[in-house]
Amino acid sequence: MTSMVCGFCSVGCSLDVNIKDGAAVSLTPTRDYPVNLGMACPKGWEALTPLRAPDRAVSPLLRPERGQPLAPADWPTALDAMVSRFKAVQATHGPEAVAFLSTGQIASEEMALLGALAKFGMGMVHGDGNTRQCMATAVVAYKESFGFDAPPYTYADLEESDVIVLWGANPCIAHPILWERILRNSHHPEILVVDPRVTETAAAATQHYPLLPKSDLTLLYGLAHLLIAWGAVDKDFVDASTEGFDGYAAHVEAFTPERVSAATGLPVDALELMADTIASGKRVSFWWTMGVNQSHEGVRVAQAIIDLALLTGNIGRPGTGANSITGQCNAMGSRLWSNTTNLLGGRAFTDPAARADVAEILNIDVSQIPDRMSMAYDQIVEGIREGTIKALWVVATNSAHSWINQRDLVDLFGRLDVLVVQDLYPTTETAQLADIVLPAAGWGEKEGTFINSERRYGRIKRVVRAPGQALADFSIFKLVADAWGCGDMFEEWSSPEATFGILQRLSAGRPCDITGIEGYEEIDELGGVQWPAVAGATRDIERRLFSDGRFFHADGRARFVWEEPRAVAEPTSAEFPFILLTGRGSSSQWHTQTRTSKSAILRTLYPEHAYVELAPADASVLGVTTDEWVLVLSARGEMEARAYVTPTVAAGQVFVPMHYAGTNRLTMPSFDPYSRQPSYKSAAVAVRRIVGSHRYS
Amino acid sequence: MTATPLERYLAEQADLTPVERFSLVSDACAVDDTGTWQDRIPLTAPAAGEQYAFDVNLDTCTGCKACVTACHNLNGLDEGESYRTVGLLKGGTATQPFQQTVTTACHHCVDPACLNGCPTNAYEKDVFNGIVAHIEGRCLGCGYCTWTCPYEVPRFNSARGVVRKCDMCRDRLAVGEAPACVSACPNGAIRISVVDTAALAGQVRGQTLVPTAPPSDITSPTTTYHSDFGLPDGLTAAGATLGGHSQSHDPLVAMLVLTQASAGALALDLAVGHRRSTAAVAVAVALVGLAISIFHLGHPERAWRALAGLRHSWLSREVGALGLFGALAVLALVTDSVALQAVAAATGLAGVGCSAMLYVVTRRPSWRAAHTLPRFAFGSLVGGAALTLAAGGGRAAGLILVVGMAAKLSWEARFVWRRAPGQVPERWLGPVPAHGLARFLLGVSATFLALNATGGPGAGLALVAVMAGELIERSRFFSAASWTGMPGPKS
Repeated sequence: MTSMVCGFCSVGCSLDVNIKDGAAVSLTPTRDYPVNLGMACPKGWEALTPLRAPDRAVSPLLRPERGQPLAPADWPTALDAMVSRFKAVQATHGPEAVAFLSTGQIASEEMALLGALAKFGMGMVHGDGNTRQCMATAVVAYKESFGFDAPPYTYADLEESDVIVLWGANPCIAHPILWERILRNSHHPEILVVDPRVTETAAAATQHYPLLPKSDLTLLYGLAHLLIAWGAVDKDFVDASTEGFDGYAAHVEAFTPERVSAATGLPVDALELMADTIASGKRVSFWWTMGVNQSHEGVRVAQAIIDLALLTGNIGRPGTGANSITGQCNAMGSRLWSNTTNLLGGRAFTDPAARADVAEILNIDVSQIPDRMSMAYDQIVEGIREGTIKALWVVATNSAHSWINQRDLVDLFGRLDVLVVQDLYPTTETAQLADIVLPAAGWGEKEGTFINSERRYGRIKRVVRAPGQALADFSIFKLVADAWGCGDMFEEWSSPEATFGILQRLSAGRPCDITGIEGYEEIDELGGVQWPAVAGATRDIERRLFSDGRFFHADGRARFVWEEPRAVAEPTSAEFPFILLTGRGSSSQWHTQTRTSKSAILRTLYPEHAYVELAPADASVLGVTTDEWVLVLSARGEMEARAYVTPTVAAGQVFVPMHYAGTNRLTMPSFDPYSRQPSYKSAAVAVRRIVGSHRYS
Repeated sequence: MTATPLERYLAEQADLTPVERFSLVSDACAVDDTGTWQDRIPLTAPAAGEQYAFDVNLDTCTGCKACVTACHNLNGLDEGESYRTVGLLKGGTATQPFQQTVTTACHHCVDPACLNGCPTNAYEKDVFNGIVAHIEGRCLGCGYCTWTCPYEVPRFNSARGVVRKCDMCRDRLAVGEAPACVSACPNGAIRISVVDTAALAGQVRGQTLVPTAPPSDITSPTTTYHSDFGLPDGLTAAGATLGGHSQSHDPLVAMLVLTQASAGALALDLAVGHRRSTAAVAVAVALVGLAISIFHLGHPERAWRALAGLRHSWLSREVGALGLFGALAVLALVTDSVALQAVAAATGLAGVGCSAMLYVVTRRPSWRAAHTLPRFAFGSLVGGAALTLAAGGGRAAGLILVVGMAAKLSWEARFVWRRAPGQVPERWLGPVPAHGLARFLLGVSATFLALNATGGPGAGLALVAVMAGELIERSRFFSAASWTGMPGPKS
């Protein structure tokens, strides 16, 4: 038996994998791991099943010509095709015409190798990850507010709070193990849920605030207005540890309860109850997820949550914090180590000192490090439209399903000279568009580390044999480096564990310092290790940041950040009268379902066909009943879905889970201007009965 | 020759090096570290008059469904198989919307309908702990328990040809470990408790386990669902559970129609004047019907076990009565004994009664006695008359068919054409027009043919029309039956 962290979400549960004849046969959740305490969600229980799927990629695949099917090829042929075609594009259009889209699903060591290879070895400038779709907002918010992208909490805070505010988060479904931790809280906490829908979490909370979609920023400023008016400010903390309070206080002055009530649809007494609950809490923790991050003004919303924590001094103490719950298993690895937006280790590409630092640590010429920021995901996509991006390497993500305004992206991918997709399955919507498919080994078939939401490094291990010629992403990157002719640059990156040593050197002296970890074995021994783990310091199993009231800005102070709320990009209209909300449908579905759909038992736990949740009042006007097929249309596309009539959705809003391929045909491509994160949860749609067509009877 | 990097990586990929895990240094997380979740099961075994039961806290069941996957994995079940499901109740108002997930498995009833209905005694209720377990080796795969259980707990596993269900992980409980679902609930929403069976059975009248569940007085289920906040009125289930999608019912349809017609023919033959040819046709039809029924079983080779449950199972009684009927009918034909034929006919009609009763006792609304007994009796009347007529029974047989068919169609019209909410489930009426029309037309045709025929091709056509109509009608009896169950999930 061995244990390793799960490869789905960012909670980072540990799973005990039972080994028979040298290979994994089954698993159970690890009992004494400080994250999940012996529990797992359905995805975790079924983590090994997707590896056995019959449609795994077992050899590289090449498409002889567009329009023809992919055909098997051997590794040297595929690598040669990839390298020669990438180089041809670079020769014609310049080095930066080749870009990459990475992921939050591969190991930190693999992300670092990919980022270093692409940017330092292959001359790319632009690369981004699917973490743009989930965490970019939190990253930018933390950086500006705290001085470093540093979620301050530890999961034990969920058990220590007397007030827990869940903002745009549905942990009962999206992070069930975090809900487990909340239920272990022995302080009878008030649990406040801010969500337009009566989610499972809202139903289980003690207070639910069903605000109008995307009125979050106004609500947060309205709460601050009341707290300041009531004198519920932790003045000592604000004076000693923050900057910008006066300007912030002046800003929220205008957010009177009446104004906020009108904008949010919440009655004034509800606002007062909410503010009073926060004011009277002794240990208030704020937690947010995609309801905040995936918004046209998500960064400011996240910062307004941080502002509330600073204002009330709810940070750095047990049971407090402004806490972003991450999405993917290694989203934080992507934040620190993907070398996309940030230079390795949370540095800035534009900072000459940081470039020199990295060049010295990696023993490379500093001129090989780009001195410019990478374009973000949406800008890379736009670059294809503008003709500046001609070739793309997509690793472990399914853009053709998950990207906002999907039809446009599929069209643009078709315009690329070369599309290389590296994935477990050649059957994903994106791999189906590829010119070259590289067969990757998955979680459980390779080694490395993931970093979970609470900054905890955990290990993944090779306990299952990958099918056919599939290789660990790490090995694929090494082969590409050799084929490109820059293999020497990565000689020291000889294995994931050796690469972990490089990451440790890159982290030295930084907020994310992990120089104190003695290697993979120690991560196992300690039940995961949270960063920072500075050499020589004692390492408690559960740690939070900022207990000394010092933040990562040069002056040690956190910043209040504020801005006037903005309208959404696409308001409803007579033609498209409903607000489309998207999100997780069930705990058994993961993102675009490339893995979770491979498990028969998971398939029994959610509806087979896409569905749209409608309020009874709207359904009655439309003449639609549950299980009837309807058409959901936006200005960009349409999808067929079965109606599910439920009062848990407010009138004027509809909800469609993100896991069905049609959903992102509807979504509206608008982005937070600071984080470039897509606003998946706001689009105008119409719903129509499908008359005379009984698709499935 | 040294290996190329590619060869090295491929070799590495196949070389699994799982590290034995190290014991964790920390004891920071205070969990029950025995690995058994003993705090979720009773400290002592049930005393006399008590039994184990699932105890579900609805307030902490928030729909993660880990219980379903844990049951699947820890019990080593087949692909897609689990003994636990999670349904959803929804309702409330626009200002107070409400939803509640409901985890459910076998309720280990005080009076288990699966056990009572099982013809082979494949179910056992443990006298000490009350767990209702199913012994696969005794199961002939008839699937009758999937109908008798109001909660649709036993499920037919077509790959194995048997039914399977939850046994509360009795092997784990026996060694002091919590069942799979209990141990896997992140929120501790499922526990095992000890309940007083007599007290529980005394409280079931007018109760359901949760809103939309079947009446508890059918089986006295032992699971307790509780909530500190209570559930609002008027909740509906988000979806159906199984809806009877277990096995094909075609062999049963044929068996019922043919045995009923045969028993009716043997009786009517005596009434209109005995002809050996009629008896011969009736016996042949009976034997075909009985033979076809075997195909309904997942394990036909175990059919001989079907009499084991005579004391409690109407299915056993049906098998016994119809089997005896077949034997007596053959004997009567061979000896050409009118007396023996009378006994055979009586036995056959008793068998038809058993057939009806085995559906009636499931307490499914569309199979209630007022619907089932007349239906099967009419089956014997019109089927028997048509057989008798076709075998040369003459004008008397034709008249019986005409009168019988008229009575049957007018009786059926009451609930086939008329919507009676609460009386007949909507599904019964839903897609009826095509089927209903076909069988009415067939019935009417048969009547006209019978009016004008005393034998020959007309009588033969009348028989075909009657049988076709009967087959359609009996097929609807299954496919449009109302299914009960715990609240299902969104589908």
